[in-house]
Formats: sequence, C-alpha cells, structure tokens
Amino acid sequence: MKKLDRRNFLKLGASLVGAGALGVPGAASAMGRGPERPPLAIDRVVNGNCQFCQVRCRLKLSLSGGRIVLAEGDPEDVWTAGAMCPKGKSQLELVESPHRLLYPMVRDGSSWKRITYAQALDLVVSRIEECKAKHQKDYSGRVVLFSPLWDCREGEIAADMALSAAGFSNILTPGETCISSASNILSTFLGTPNSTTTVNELENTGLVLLWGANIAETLPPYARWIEAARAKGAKVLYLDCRTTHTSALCDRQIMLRPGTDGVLAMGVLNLLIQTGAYDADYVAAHVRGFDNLAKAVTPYTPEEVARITRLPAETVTELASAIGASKRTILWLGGSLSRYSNGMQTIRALVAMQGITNRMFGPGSGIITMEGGKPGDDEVFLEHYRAEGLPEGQNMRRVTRSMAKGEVDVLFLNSSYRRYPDCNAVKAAIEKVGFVVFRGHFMNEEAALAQLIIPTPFGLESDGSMFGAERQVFWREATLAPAGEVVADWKFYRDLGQRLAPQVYPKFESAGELYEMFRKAVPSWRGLSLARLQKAPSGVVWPSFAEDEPERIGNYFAAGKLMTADGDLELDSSVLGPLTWQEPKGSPLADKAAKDFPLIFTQGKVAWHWQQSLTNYSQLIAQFCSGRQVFVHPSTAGGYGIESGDAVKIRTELGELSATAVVTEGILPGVVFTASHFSPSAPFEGNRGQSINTVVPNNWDRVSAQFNGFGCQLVKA
Amino acid sequence: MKRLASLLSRATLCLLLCLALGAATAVAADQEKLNINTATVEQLAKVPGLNETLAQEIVKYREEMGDIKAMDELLEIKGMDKALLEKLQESIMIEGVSGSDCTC
Repeated sequence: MKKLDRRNFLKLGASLVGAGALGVPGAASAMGRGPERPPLAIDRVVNGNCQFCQVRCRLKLSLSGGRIVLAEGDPEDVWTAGAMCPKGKSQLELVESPHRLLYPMVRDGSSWKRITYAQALDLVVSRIEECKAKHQKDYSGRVVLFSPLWDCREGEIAADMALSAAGFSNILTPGETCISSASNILSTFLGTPNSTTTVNELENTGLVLLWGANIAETLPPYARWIEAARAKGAKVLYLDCRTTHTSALCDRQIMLRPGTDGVLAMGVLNLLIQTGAYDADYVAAHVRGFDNLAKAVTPYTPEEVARITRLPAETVTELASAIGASKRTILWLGGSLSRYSNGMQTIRALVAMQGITNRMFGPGSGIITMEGGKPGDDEVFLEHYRAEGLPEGQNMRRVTRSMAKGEVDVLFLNSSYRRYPDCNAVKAAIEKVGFVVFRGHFMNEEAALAQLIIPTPFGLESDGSMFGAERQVFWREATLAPAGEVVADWKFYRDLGQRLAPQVYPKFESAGELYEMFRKAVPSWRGLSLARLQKAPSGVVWPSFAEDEPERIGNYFAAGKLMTADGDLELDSSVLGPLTWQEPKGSPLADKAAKDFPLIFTQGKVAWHWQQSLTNYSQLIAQFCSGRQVFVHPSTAGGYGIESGDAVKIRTELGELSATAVVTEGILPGVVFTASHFSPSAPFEGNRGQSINTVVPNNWDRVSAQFNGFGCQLVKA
Repeated sequence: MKRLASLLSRATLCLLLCLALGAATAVAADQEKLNINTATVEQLAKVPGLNETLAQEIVKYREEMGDIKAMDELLEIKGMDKALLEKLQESIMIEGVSGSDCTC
C-alpha cells in the first residue's frame, strides 16, 4: 500500500485534473480545433474561492485591465484538482449583474432613498442604543442576527464580537435549517461535530456508504473522490429514494422510503449484533451502553424493517452483511438526514453502527458529514469580547415568537427567512420587528422587509480567510474592487462594534489584521499564519499548533481514540433518552395521519442552484432551468391522471406550489420530489417560482427544522 | 496542640465525607428525576403536581419550541405557577441538547 504522504497526494490531485485545464490558451489549437489565438494579456492572477457549498473550490482568477478574463478551478488544489461547478462559474455573472444593490438605502415610504454608509451606520447605532436605553437590563434578546453563509471567517468573527460585546446573544446560525442535528449528535458521541476523516481517505476505503448523500449534486466537485474510491476497488452503496446524478457513481442504490433511514440503520445494527458481525473486543474495551443498544434494535427484524422502509427484507440482510464484512468503511451522512424530525435518532443509530464495527479509526474509515469541515476553537477568541452575564442565545422558534410579539427591535436580516419552514409565518413575525437591516446582494424578498439596506460584496470583491470541507483554512485575495459602496461584513460589524462597545471592541484595519489577531490568540491556530496560508493554494488543515508541524490529513482520531472525555464511545444518553424511531412529523403513514395528503413530500438541491438565493439571479443558469418541476412515479401519477408535462399543483396543509410534472421510474411510488431553490423575485423565468417553504409545515426535531417526509397531494391544475 | 491538630483533622475528614455523601446523594437523586426534554406524556402525567392535561401541554410546548432550558419557561403554560414549579423540582430535571453546534 502506497504511503499517503503529501507528495503522493499531490500526484493524485494532478491525475484528477479535469475541465479546468481546458482554459489554457492554445489548447484549442493543440486539439486541432482552429487557429491559435494570441495569448491573453494577463496582468495578475489572484487566488479566490467559490462562496457556495462548503467545498469552497479554490479558484485562479486572471485579470486583464482590471477585469476577470479567465476563471479556473485551481488545478493545484489537492481536494478539488481544479473542479468548478456551474454555481461557482455563475459568480462571474452575479458580480456584474445589473440587478445588484450597490448603495446603502433607507426606506422612504414605498420607495428607497440612497444614503451614505456613514448615515446608514448612524441609523443602526441609534436604533440599538434606543433599544438599550428603553429596556435597560432586559435587552439581550431584542437585537437579532440571522447569519448568512459568511463570505469569510472575519465577517462572522467581527459580527459575533459586535453583538456579544454590546450585550446581545441571538445570533442565529444557518445550522437549524441545515445539518445541526448531525453536528450535535457527532459532538455528543464522538467529541467532534465535524467529519472524522478527510475525503482523500475514500481512496483507502473498502466500502463507501452514501447515506442520503447526493454528492454529485450537492458537492459536485467531490464526485471525483467517489470515482477514485471505485477505481481503487471500493464498493459504493447509495441510499436515496430517487435517482440522481449520484446514482451513476455507485455500485448499488438502495431506494428506501424517505424518513425511514433510522429504521434501516437499526435493522442493520440488529443483524450485526445477532450475527456477531461487530468488533466484540473493541466494544468490551471502549463502548458503554451496548446492551441497551441491542435491546433497542431487537424489534427491527429484516421483515419489520422491510415493512416500514418498503425495501425487500433481503436488501436489509445484504446491506448488513456488506457492512459487517467490510474492513474499512466510510459513512457519508447526507444533509437530508438532518432534515427529518427523526433525524437525531437516525444519525445516532448510524454513529452506533460505525462505532460497534470499530470503523471510526485509521485509514479508509470514519464519518464524513455535509458541512463537516469547519475548524474549531473560535470560542477561545470570542469569549474575551462577550459582555458579562450574557445569556445563552435562543433558537429560531423562540426568536420567531419574540419577533411576532413585538419583542425584537433590530434584526440584521443577513440571510433568507425563506430557509425556514412555514416561512410566511416567519415573514409575518419579521414584519413586527422595529427595524430590519438587510445585508445582501439583490432586491429580493428579504430586502422587501427591510427599513435599511447596506449591500454586501461578493467573495470576489473582498479578501479574508475561509475554510473548505476538510477543515483546511485558506486565504482568499480580493479579485475586484468592491462595486458601488458595498461594505464587507468584517468592516460593517467592526464599525458597529466600535460604536456600541468602544472599550472592548478591538481595533483592526483589514481582514488580515483581524485574522492574525485571532490566530495568535488561539493555540490550535498558531501554525496557520497568514504568510503560510498565502503560500498554500490548497489551504492548511486545522488544527496546527506550530508552523513546522506536519499537516493533519486523514483520520481525525489519530491517537486511535475518540475525542470524548475518556476516548470511549458512550451509546447511552440521558440527554437523548432511549434510541427509538418515529415517523417524520406529518408523515402520511403515521397513525391518525390525515388522508388528504397521502403522498410523501421531498425537496433538495440540484447541481446548478443554491437554495432560495443568489443563483436565481443568474441568467446563465436560468437557461438550463424550466421553472419548478415535480418528479413522480408512473404508478402514482397514473392514479391522478397525470402525465409528463402536465401543469400540476403540489398541495400541502399550508398551501400549494405550481409545477410541471415529470413522470419517472427514478423515484419511489408515493413520493414526490421538487427542487428547493426558486424565488418569486428571480428576474429570469427559468429560476422563478414560489418559495418552497411557503408550503412546508413548521415541524422540527429538537434542533433542526424538517423539510421532507410530510404529506402532500398532487392535483392537476 | 497535637490533640487539637488531631481533632481538627478528624473534623475535616468528617466534613469532607459529609460533603461527598451529600454530592453523591444529589447525583443519585438527580438520576432518579425525569428529564423534562425526553419524558413522555404518560411519564409526566404521573409526576406529583401534574396531570394529563398539563403533561400534554408541556410536551406540546417542547415540540413547538425545542428543548426546555429552564423551568421558568413552563410558566407560559396555563395552569402552571411558581408554587407548582417549586414542587416539580423534586421530580423533574432538565437536560437538553444545546443545539449550538453548527459547522456551516
């Protein structure tokens, strides 16, 4: 077995170079496609990154005369080898879009009045100071921030410091609508909320379980790692209720009823235990709660699992057999698992499965989770700036209730409210907020709710540190000067923080200065100097305690034990209670389910769109989209007299969406799928549609919102 | 002097033993209490001071709002008051998912 050191790793990266290389001038001639054109006069090449999915593909942007003339994925990046997906390419259009907001504006009746940044900042400060003066000691929940996917870490750090130093604790992260269920379960049982290995370990594994993980469409540049795994002889099993681009990358797809993943996991656990196909020595030495686990999964015989999941019982047995026999297994948790109300218990069962088979450690084993690459220890820095006695922040449900009761005075609407289920109710609550500040790029549904707009730059227009999916930290240089008077988050929140908490808030004049301030203060970041990052196109993996330490690539549990207090796996949890499974809330198969909505609703991303926001403003992408479609099995469609191309309504207890039917055998009977991304305000018809979460009922697990698995109906329009 | 030192060290030992016993008792008592964030309606209905209606309301609140973080939150439920909360402390404990881990 070849040692996976950095040199070999780079060779692998080079061998996976794809389309990025075709951007080289002169290549067309070499391939016999026409006359050679004069080379581009490139002034400089800048290191950038895509600001969409967490892979955050590193880019090489070539400028001539101040304009971007060539954008390629960085072929030297060891994680992406130069890949870029359509979303990343759309940034080039979006940054020049005529629809961009470029100047601060304050609401003036039904229209907007342009103001200066200084005036905008004064307005925000005055509203916050009014709030504090009026509510004296009871103001901590009255200023709220909906976090975006920050364009750089310095934006998030500056914002956190500004609000917490000023005494406000309600900074709402996207996680509640994303994968917080997974990150909380991983943190509870493994001691880290992140992936426990890096994606290159797919080259060393024997079995890849893409469990609800539609990688080809959610993390397109990472499809190459699945291909690399298969090329090395690994088996790839994909569990999803419908055919996707990922289906073509696997050896076998298991199409189970949506929302029943926990049942299947418990059925596999039952078989592993019954047949002894687990690591008894490891369990005896390092796992507690095994007996309770065995008891909890006993009812989930292959027949019972088959009944609930709609899989053949033999499939359950075959899956358990493959997992039990595998010497190295990587479990890739799809984001969708966190988006059912039974998600936490599902992920808990899957973690237990990896645990008792002792597939957490070493090359080719571990768990990868979506959004699993965020480096840690921000708290070590941020805690110095928190106001004394700052209460714990509230979750979105409590914040929505506070807004609806008129108990929130200022909202920084930095991201889409339409990412929450029953988003019309969230909108109604936001309409009761005293002062809404929109921080974004376009005049969309969020801007429409604001009293003040302070537009933000795109990642191409700002520098800062960022992280990818492997805990790697990299430095992005600004490629373009910021358009108009857009203001980077780190700058706006710095200015705000220095006005609200001048005694506490630190002084810095650039993202780089803030980065170095942070880096020097946090031991696990000390090895990640700005100078080092600037020389590392692939970034450098966190943690790094000193600059001369080797990079920590591969299985995170390098010491062969978990990051829990004693290194062992405790399967019992008084916080979570017993391991159980329940139907997703609103499931048409639950007891006493309403008969009106007999079909199972699912939604998700498609490869070329980001959810509810930016990519809807791309004309390039709109060319390949034809409005909302709903995918339905022929046996289901036939029952409604629906054929492909028919105009239909997807109806839920909250309302209905218009869509065009696509009848396909690539989805389970009784299940429908429609894409998540549409916006009513999209300027291009192909991207335009009603926001999906207007019809998604407000169901949650203990942490995350549910977006799938509830009942719906199809009606011919 | 020696006798005084001996008396003091015995007293200290007794005090330490009492504290340890008290802590262990507290831990054991806590372990017998019901976690308000995982208890079923049936379990809560049997708690002294609660009934089926209140139990349903507690679970409904929890399902709607997420894990309960402090007993005071239950004052939002019709029929709950401070005296009842005080009584519930004997049977109920709070262990919740923090929900704060977000890796986005």
